[in-house]
Amino acid sequence: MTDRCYVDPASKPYPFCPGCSHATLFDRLDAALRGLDLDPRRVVVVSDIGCIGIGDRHFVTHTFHGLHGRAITYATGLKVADPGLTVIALVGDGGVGIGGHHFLNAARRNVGITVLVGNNFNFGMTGGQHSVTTPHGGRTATTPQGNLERPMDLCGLVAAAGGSFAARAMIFDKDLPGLLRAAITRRGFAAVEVWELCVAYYGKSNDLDRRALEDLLATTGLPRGVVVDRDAPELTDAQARQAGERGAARSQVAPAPIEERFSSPLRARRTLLVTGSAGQKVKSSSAALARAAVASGLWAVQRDDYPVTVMTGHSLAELAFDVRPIDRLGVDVPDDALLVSEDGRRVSEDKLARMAPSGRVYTLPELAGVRTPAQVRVVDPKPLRLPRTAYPLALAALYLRETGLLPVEALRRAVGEMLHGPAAEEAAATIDAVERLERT
Amino acid sequence: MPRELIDGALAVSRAALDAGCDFFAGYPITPASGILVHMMRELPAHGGVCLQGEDEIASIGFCIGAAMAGRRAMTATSGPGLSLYSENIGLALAGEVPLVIVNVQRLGPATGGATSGAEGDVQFVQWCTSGGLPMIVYSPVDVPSTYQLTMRCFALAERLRMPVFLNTSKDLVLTLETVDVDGYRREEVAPRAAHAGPGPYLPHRFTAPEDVPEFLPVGAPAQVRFTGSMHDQRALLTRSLPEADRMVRHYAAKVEARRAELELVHLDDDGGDVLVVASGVAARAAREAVASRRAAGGRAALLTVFSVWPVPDEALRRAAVGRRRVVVPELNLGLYRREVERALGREVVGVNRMDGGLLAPGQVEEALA
Repeated sequence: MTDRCYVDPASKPYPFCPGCSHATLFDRLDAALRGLDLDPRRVVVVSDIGCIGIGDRHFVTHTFHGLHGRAITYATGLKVADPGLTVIALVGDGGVGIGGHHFLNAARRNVGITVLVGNNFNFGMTGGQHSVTTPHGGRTATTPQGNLERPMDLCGLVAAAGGSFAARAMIFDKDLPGLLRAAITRRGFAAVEVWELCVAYYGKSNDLDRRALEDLLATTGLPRGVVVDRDAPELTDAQARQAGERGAARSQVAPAPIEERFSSPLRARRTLLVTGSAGQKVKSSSAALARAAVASGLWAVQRDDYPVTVMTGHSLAELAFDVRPIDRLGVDVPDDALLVSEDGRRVSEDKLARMAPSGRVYTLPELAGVRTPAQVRVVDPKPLRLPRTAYPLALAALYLRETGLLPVEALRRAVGEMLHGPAAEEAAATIDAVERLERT
Repeated sequence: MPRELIDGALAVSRAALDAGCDFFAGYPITPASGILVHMMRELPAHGGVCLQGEDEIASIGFCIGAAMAGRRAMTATSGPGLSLYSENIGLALAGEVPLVIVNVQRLGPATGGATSGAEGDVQFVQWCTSGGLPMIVYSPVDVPSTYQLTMRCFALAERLRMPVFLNTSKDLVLTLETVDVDGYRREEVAPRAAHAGPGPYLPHRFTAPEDVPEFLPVGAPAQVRFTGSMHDQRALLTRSLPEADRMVRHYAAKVEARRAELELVHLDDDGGDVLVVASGVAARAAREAVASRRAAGGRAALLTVFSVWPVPDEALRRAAVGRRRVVVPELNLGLYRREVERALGREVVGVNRMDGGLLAPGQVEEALA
């Protein structure tokens, strides 16, 4: 024991109803912290909303009083920002209900905070409404004929979610400070549910006293004392370990200038629509084209469009190339198009139909009938023995070869810089295959 | 002139790291997920921490906790997530928490169009929490302004101890653009003014209403208190009317007293008698529309608004002097038009689209007639 106080004795009395268990809980927490002799400046008490949250002014530790149900989120943020802090969240049964998701996930993450739930079975501050821990049959302002719902087993939740420590105690328990000490010093997530008496509402409406509370616990069959106590990696420890193992990785957000080693005959803006299916590498093939354009001294913009589905549905990219910076985002009617699947035809029907007769549409035999005034250049990729995912890049290479917009070499270099391993080899093979095609 | 291909998600992330951001939390949501992915990959290597929350409420809660432990924090989301941030944004205002919030707008309401662009949150970012206090919101129009304004959001959030918004949108965050790598403009992000004593630390002490209280992190050698309840300068709950009045006016004054400094607009004026006022993606269409009109021998001025909140009333009034017509193109049904009308005290013409598609420059040009 230390002379240090964690609750300022001069600040008392607490703002709770006479006889309220919250006052005892504060005293027991003070006793637990005295037993640990922690520097109060390295302890933060995060309090939730409700009666339990109005007492933070009595603590001489740091105090943090946020929104209803969210105490665990602030506690987590404080802990991961400063892992050396002892972080204790004081939550009522109301708060653990509205913030149940955070309770579960803090346990699952096993973040090293202690959640102290002052469970008095109802919302005291707002007039005694039922909560997620109100016993079955319990009478409250909102369950006048008895609670039809069943109470949540908080310790069972911690057990299921993977937290390191959970215990259930009565506010009268002599060893409560010891139990709280065990929770606070446990590495990992720790929760202690303390059964309390609400003298204004729940206790009064349900004739609860110390003995009746004991009987209630026996009726529920819920275990008492330490329910969960296991070693598991604590979140901030795991974070530090992972950061150490990983070392200083190369930043992928640093500026990555593209070397300008090619040139383009382009003098006025040209737009290109690449339209096909998700999973066909429409986006990455288009990005390679954009990169090739920048490597050829142009300015390029690429705006993609796709639905929320991932490996199905359409995927299109609207590209613009110019000798000047481009303000316009997106392409209304493209000058040229690469049409690589039926999905692409369907979604771009209108744009393809509005193209100019001078435009070119590069496409596959099965889409040769596409409605467009533009010149349709049909390419049969079958003899090239390319996977379907290589079609956009193949058409892009052919488009460059035949229009001379950019050197095919610029595209080859772009994919070499963007891709690695088998993907890079496949892309290079695709461009090679197109280069071997006889010129028409 | 070395150039790169870069999208807005990368620009936000790069700017955050350059601004000294060392905490990020977010929940995956299209079209903002790219920022979470970048920060998750980069922050640990920069001594920072990145967490993916179980939902948006947890994510912004983590940020608020971390910011009050002294971290430079950022989060990013889209309309549905911003809706869930609402209550915590109020907490960040009340507790004077430095926090950068990136909102990547998409077509709303509700789930709306996850992969469809729109700019319908222009009023929502200002009025997204209870209490009706002024917010600071910047909107970029391209990658370079995304970079610069993200840094500015950090500079202001840290200096003014409050949440500051970058309100961008799907088409700016996901579109790859070519950028001159020497063309980025940085903004200085100064450390929070720290309390040095003597005497106890008062988390909300100020003299003039617009003063920014000194900061100490939770965990510091002096006691730090924090609360979202109406409080006095000690961060202790108060029901005193004069104390509440003083605190509320302080929150507002931090923004209102700095209107001139916060204002960031660009006026491209050729003396034409038509003025276009635009921000965000709509400003891109407006630029092309004005360029096209000029190429055809016509004239029009363009006022690009980067500091959308507080509304740059003075800049709007100055720019509108002598104009026959004021046009406000927007990717919504006319949200900022009403602010322009209020500032100018006259009717202005809206050009509006809100279906997931982009405004065509031709559409804007037609309205200039």
